[in-house]
Amino acid sequence: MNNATAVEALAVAVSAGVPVLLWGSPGTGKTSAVVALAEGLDWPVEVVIGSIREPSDFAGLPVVIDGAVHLAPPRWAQRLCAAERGLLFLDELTTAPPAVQAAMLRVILERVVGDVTLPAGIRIVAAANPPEQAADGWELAPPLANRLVHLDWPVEAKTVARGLAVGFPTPVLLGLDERPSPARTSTARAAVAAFLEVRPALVLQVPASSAVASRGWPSPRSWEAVARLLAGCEAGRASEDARALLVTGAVGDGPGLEFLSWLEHADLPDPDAVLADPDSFELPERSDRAFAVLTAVVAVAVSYGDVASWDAAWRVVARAARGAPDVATLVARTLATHRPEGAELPAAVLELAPVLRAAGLLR
Amino acid sequence: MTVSWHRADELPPHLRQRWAAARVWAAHQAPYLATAVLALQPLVVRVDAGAGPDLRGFPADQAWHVYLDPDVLAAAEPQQIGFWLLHQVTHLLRRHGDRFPCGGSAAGGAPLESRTPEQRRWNLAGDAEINDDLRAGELTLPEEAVSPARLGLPDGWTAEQYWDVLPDGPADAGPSGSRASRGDGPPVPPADGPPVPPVDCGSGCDGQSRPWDCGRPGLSALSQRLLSRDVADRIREHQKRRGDVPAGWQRWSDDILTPVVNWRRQLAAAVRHGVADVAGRVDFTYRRPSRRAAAVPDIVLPSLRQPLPQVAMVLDTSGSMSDDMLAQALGEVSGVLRSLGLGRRNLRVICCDAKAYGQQRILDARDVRLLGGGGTDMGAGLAAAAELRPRPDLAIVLTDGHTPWPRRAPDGIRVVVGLMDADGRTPEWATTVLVDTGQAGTPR
Repeated sequence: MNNATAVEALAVAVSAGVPVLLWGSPGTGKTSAVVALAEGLDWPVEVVIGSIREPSDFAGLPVVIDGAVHLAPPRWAQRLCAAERGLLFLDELTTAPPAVQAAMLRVILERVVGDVTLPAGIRIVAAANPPEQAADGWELAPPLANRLVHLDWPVEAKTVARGLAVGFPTPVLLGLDERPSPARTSTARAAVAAFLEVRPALVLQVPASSAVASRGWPSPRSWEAVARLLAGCEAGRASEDARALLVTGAVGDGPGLEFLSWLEHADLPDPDAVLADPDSFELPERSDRAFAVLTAVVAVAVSYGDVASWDAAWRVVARAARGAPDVATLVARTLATHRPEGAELPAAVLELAPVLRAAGLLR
Repeated sequence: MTVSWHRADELPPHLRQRWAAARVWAAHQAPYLATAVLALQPLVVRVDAGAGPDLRGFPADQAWHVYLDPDVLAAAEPQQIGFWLLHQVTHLLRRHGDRFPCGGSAAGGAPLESRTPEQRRWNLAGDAEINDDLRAGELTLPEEAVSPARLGLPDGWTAEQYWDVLPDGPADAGPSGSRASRGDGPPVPPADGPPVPPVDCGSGCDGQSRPWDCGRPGLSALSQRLLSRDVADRIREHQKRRGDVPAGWQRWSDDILTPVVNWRRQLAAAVRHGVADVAGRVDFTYRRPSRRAAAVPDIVLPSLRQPLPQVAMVLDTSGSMSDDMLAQALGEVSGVLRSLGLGRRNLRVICCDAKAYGQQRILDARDVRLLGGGGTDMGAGLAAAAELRPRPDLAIVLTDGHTPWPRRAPDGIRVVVGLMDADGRTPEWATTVLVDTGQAGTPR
């Protein structure tokens, strides 16, 4: 992962309106990247540093007027309310005392500061130092961690060297003007829903240990964020790596990677459909994907165990053997060892013999 | 020298068949690596004039392209090609390109005509790490392949370990030359003829670009990550069914599938939370009026508070605990407590085997006198902690867990257990952190 990918992911998250948290060592340019992002858009930006604030700076200052307590919002919140669009940058999230973190939570989640609500056009970005680097750092509370997309802010010698010489790159927002269309959003939601139907265990996994808890973890809320981020990636035509960063940042590494690999295989042909119509089967170009399809087809045919699907699987393998004899050979071995009773070895086996003989595997 | 790249489809049929046979052979040798071998995208390299680059090892780049020289392909047996495919896939899966110790300085620069001594040394080290795992099957190594035995070194090390002991800048004479200069291990000359020059495994091995690298996008970073996990899953499955996966591959798949949790961080978090929960922290409260409130009567200001808790550490000093383990965990805990501002007045230590020994007030973990060495009963230690005056708010127990526990937590005391043995048992009323002191010592 490199810095450009992280910046791209940041831009997508801001465009999609999902609160994002940048994890990085002090002095690595997190603040300047966010400020540059706002300046590039000509948006107002408010940098609020958690560790030097009190809870009342986020929850509103309690003022007694005519016997009632009003929660007066601070100036930065009033300025943001006046602007239609803007960036709220909450810095040093983990070094803030827990009472301040709790107050920041409400800002991030409900966008409420004191008695006022931030307009929808205000985007929230936070930054934090990893607990092992901040001497007085606290672990992030799991509920707060769950509301944020976690992005690691990498330091690359190359980027720093180039940045010092010719200036650091300014992040550009992707797909901001082009709001994700309703169709795109519902496609993304459908993809997430389909995945969760296959893996219901991943809908909610409350972390057991506190060190893991301060990063993203799967919950219905974070899966919804994944759907919004996917739609945002589509609209902004973000790179595959930025998308991966966002998904794993929202729901954690394990569930995120499982979702991504499910997505990658979702566009492969359905084995049942291939078996039903073996003659119109088109082998994917990439050998490893071809292998994945053929393995699935063979596994399904073997599990049915009847002569008809076994014959259909051989026709698929025979078609594949013309384009990729090695891939076909690999799955043919499994198919041949699971011959149902009464089935005859098809002639296609003979086409595979030369490859097996050349590999020294045919007795 | 101008290099052009062609698809494997453009090869003559007999070479295409040889390539297919090599992939089948490789997938047969190591079925768990089949997807990885198939993910390598072949590119045929042709040069317009002069001698082509040295592609004897079927070098790969970090985007999972593998470069073929038709002449090499025609001369090699499918088994030999298959061996190199497995070999290059291993370089890529184990990310040798990112692990190159001298990487970064020349990264992104123009490709060099010949490799630096460091690159050659790292190639040897990486090859040694790979080949002892590949040889574990029924493979015979091609004569130009490096193995730990041929370098006169033991099997089973990581590339970094081999790198450390290999001499600086082995001459172009290759492994045989370096062996002679080391003077240990029996020199094993190749079976016939002069020593074979070392094979270049390409940029997939050290991340530095080569003249034949095409620079086209290949397998994306995400696909590579997914592929690694897929291979790791297959290794685990294969090990369960057949049980013949080489140890190096098992370690690798464990690293990929179960990332190591840093026990230092977890223990620090548990202790910090424990202290914070019983004591309140440097935190804001509206329970007491702020002293500044008199100046602004209309505004309700919070005040600050930080009561310091009393902490008792109960150390299991029974025979089953090693002093070294205990010292490491003790050092971590006392470091965290010191950073929270807990001094000598607030921290007491109780050593405990079958009975509890008297309390010690300490400033530094090194000052603790470890008493005892018999059987185990942490209940006695906790009971002793509960009787201390002033009464502790937090008890931190460092134990291997092979001990009876009281049915309930001592009244009003929060308990954090640092468990030194995964098989040990802890009560559910305590916060438990598994401390694996061995893990820091195993290199990846």
